[in-house]
Amino acid sequence: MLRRTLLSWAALGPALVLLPACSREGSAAPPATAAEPAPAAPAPVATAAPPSAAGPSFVAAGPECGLAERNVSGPIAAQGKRYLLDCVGPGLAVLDYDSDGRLDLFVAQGRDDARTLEDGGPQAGGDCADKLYRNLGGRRFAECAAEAGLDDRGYGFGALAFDEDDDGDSDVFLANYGRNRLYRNDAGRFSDETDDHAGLAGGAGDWSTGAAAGDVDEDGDLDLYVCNYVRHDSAELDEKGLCRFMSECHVPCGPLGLDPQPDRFYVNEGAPGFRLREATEEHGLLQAASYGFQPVFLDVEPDGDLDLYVTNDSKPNWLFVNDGTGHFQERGLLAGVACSNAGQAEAGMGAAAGDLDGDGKPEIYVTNFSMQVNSLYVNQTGADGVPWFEEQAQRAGVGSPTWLELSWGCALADFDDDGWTDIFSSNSHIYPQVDDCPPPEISYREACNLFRRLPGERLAFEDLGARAGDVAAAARPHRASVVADLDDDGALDLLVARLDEPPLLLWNDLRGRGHWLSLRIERAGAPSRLAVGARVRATAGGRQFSGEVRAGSSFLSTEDPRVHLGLGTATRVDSLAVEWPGGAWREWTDLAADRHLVLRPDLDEPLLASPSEVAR
Amino acid sequence: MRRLLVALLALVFASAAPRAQDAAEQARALRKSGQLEEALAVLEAARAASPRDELLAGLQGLCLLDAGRAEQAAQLAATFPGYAGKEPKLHTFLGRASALDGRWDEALQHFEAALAVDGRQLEPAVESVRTLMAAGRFAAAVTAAARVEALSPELGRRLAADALVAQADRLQAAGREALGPAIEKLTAALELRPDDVALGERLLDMQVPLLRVDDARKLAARLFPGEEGRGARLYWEGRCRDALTDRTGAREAYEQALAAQPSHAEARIELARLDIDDGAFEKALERLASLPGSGKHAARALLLTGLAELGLHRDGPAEEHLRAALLLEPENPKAQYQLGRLLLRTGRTEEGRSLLEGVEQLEPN
Repeated sequence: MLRRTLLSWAALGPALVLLPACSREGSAAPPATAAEPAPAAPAPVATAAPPSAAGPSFVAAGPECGLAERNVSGPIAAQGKRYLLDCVGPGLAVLDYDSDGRLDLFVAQGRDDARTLEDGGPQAGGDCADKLYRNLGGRRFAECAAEAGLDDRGYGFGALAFDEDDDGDSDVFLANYGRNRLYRNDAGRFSDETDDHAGLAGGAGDWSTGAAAGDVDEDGDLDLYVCNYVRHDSAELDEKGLCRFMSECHVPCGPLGLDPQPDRFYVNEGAPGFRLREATEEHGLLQAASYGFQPVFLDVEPDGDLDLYVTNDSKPNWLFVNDGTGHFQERGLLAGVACSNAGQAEAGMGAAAGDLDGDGKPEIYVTNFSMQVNSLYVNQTGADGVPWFEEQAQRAGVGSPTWLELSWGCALADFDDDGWTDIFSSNSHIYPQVDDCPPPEISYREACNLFRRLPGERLAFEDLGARAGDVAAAARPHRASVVADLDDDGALDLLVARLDEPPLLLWNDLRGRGHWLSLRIERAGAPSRLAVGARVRATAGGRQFSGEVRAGSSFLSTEDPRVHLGLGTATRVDSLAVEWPGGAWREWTDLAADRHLVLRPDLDEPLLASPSEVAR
Repeated sequence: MRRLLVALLALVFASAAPRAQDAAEQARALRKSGQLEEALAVLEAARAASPRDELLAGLQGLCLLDAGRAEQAAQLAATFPGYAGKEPKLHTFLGRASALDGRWDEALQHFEAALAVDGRQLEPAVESVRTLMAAGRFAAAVTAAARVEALSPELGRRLAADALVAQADRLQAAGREALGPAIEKLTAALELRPDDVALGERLLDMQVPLLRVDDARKLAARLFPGEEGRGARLYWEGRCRDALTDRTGAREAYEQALAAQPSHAEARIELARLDIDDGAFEKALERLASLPGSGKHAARALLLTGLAELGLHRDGPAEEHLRAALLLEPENPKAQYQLGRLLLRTGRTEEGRSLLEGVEQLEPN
């Protein structure tokens, strides 16, 4: 087993903190003492007051923001939804498709009649094209999917933005019901390159869901994992009719009782063609077919290589542990992240990873079905590197409040920049029919949850409820969600998909937030390329922070590719270390807070990345 | 002495060669009073004189079945192949003999034939219900029980309730989505047996997880009236609040239940569970220590004790209690899962893995 020496809090000890304004770099492990002259840190762009005890507050964007297109997922709820296919909703992706420095938004689109799929090519299907919203600045967006060539008309679910061909711009993989699509981006113009990758499209009747990318074999390019859900056959389901839920509701059938579909892993063969080749079994990722929803790459031990967590609906979730060579072993049950504390599989929907307790190891948060609490798996992996988690949702105060809700998207992020990571989940029942059946406590439209982390060593959260502003103001049919600082003001905003409705954009307008640092981690050299899988460690104000660059998380979605660190009252970061996939690392000290920075292993100084000030 | 008496009776009847009708009446009376051997002696003697008498044969067969002499009963039944006569007792006997072999349809045909001759016959009506239940035809059993109720109201209601409960069992085993119909069956059964508290509590146990808290509260109030029922009522109030995620309210209700009825084990157990969820492990242990180590709540108490010990990082006592819980409930997934993880963590990889893999085989929630 290949294991590298890790960056750890111990490695960022007091001696380094005593060396202000210096940077260090390396290729395998951080040296004990070597130091370089400090980069001249750019001036802060904002000054933040101490964090408010009230927690985040969000304001829903109005129609002027331009996200006007409603989701199409079969007949609208009021007309009755007969298939699960029409109940899951679209994935979202945050990407800078035109490389203008502003984050744009992609929203997958469903179809109005799944049965037409077999006949329709990518351009068929009426008005059901996926949506791409260009960020115009000033909190406004303009739909431009057709103009950019990303108006795919498949029945869209997962939306993964990642640089598949390593040319510096965000390509988009669409996990559809029917043929999946890979759209390569060339200077802001997308072209469908799916057929260049044998097997990537999947079968005509496959229903793919979440997707995630990571360089599992550390060969410098991004590999792809795609979840598949059930075999959907409208005619068969029509014959079967509706199924019972909570005994009295007649609702779409599944997933139990329907045929699960196996997930697929594609290894990227790199330059020159960057072909994605199906290699599920070859990499130890072949499992009995399950009802897969969302994969998330993360480094659980952490030992420097990317592991993979996968949520499964109504079946145990998986944790694939990387042996350091890109080969995996499934250890979900042994690690304690497969099921509930009661040893029962739950209906895993979305997943988010993040370091909640500042020990440098990512926790995993999983959204589950109604009448199952969302799971909070706390990472307690020890020095032996054997992954070990304890489920602590109830103890941390995020169990009971999620019991009745059915949650989809989720995020572990510091929304008030107080230095403590909060939890968001988007909620709504899957079946519109529940409104017509008892019990009254379960309803189709639900408000979202925002749990504020209570400062202190004990892992504890409070449900902000109405104090979260418009996050919890309206009960709507929420689905996937993404977190991103869309207006680059240093506050993490939220975009939430809604079934049959336009997406909900929630601006984070909390006053009195803490200080922050936003980091775009890039690989060395030109063009500018995101370093998916890079890990960040920072110390500020006597506390430790960490983050990873991910492509694919929450539910069917891709979030802000930047690492956002809430710093609380600290106005400077004492030390900041980045470990890139492949082992390169670099460390900076004494960085001013409240700015967007670009970090690269070949740059002595961080670049200021705020689009309003720097044209990259 | 008893054997001697039976032999004498047989001798007397054989020599007296009583009329078949008299012998039948006498045997009926003896059977009714549980004197099966005496009844069989009378019938054996009478049948020696009237070997083709169908009433005597039927009674003899029924007595043999009542006495557990299945083999002799089968031999007797074999002497009436394809019987299509008009004697209800013989049909009843042949039906019961068929049912004993699992030949449900044949049995039911015989019972129906008996009832067709004499609709006031209680035994074939009852046996018909029992056979339908044994065959898993619960809905038909409920219908058939109505026929018994017309003859014997109390017995009919009891049988109908049994059939409804069996139906509920089957629905409950089919999974969560069938709990609603199961609740309907139990509700109907409870209407037939309104004073059956155990049945009522089973119904409550189904209603609460499905959030039918209004129904549950009403039922608890009816099942546990007055001051005497206050503890149980408050316990179910706690369960309802728990289901609605009002943990503070649930805790309060459980505490009040214990104040009203200090021996209320379930309330104590639920409080211990809440303590464990909140990380108050010592408090949970304190509560659980006062529960008896045996009885219907023992497995849950042992499991929770194990979990509390785990929370306190006391692996030895945790393992001991989880193992004890598993002895009582070998398929408890929570005990299996937690013990499996404990063993894995403490280096007993093989046994730990085996337990965890066993959990994976269990049906999902």
